[in-house]
Amino acid sequence: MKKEEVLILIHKYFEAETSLDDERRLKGYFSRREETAPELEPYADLFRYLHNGQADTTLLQPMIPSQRRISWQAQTAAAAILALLIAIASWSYFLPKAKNQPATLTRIDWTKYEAASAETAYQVTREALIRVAQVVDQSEQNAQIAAERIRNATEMLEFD
Amino acid sequence: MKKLLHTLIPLFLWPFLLQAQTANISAIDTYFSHYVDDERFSVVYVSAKLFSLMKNISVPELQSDENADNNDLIRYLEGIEGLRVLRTNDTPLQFYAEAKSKIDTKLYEILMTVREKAGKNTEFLIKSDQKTGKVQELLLLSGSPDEFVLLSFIGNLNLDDISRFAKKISSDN
Repeated sequence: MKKEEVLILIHKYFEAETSLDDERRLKGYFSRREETAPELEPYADLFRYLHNGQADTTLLQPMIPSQRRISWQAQTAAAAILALLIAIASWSYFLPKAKNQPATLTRIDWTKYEAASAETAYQVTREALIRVAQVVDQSEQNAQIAAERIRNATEMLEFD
Repeated sequence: MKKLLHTLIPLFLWPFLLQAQTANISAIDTYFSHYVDDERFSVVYVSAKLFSLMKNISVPELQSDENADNNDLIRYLEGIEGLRVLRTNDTPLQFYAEAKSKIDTKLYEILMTVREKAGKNTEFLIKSDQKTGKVQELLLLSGSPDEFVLLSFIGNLNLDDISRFAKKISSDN
């Protein structure tokens, strides 16, 4: 086939006016590499590709789901990690907030509240210690009363 | 390598430094800092320095030449690192209940609870060093219909001594 004739067919091809026979001829021409005129080489790839009649699947490869099998060890490890994460999440969610958890520690400038003199400081300390003594006293008295009650109750039981 | 060590060593030491810093922090700093700024509360702080100055004041109980007990008391007071007192007459029982609920009983062991007929409740708590077992803080919460008081003694405290001196001062009163 002459070069001019091929050019006419190529124009017709891009105008979508070629018949199946024209297209077959174009594919046949470009499949014979030795016959292909150098000026027509830019079109060669297209018609050789069509001649081969195969879609290039290399571009689609990443989209094809992998058929690799995941080992049972990896599956077990993944399941264990997932279970652990769920357990941690549930624990932190369902565990009642500790009522005693302190809020963020705030630095207090205690010097603002410092007793004005050693005398005042002693009076404050004295009062504090007296308060402590009262509690200790009261506690000891309560313990004595409780001990006495137990003793009386025991005596009564023995008497019965 | 040196740079790495300079970064890692402070990182390892940080928790210990933090622990040392927090050792002198009272329950008031931890749980009740908002009471300190509350105008309904009166706040007094006695620092370690003031405790060390007490031996110089002219109070019979602290005259070291009087008897050995007084010397002991002076030494004991010098060992206290801080006393914090918070007091209010405003809704005292409510504050008492709130304070009780805030204290972490894992850190503060309840030493005694006293409930009196007049509606006065007192709770005595201590915080001890987990390693040495020494008492670091003595905390007293007291709530009655008239007042709510929070007392916190900080330092290396000995309970027998504090009880003995408290009784001595109380009997001298």
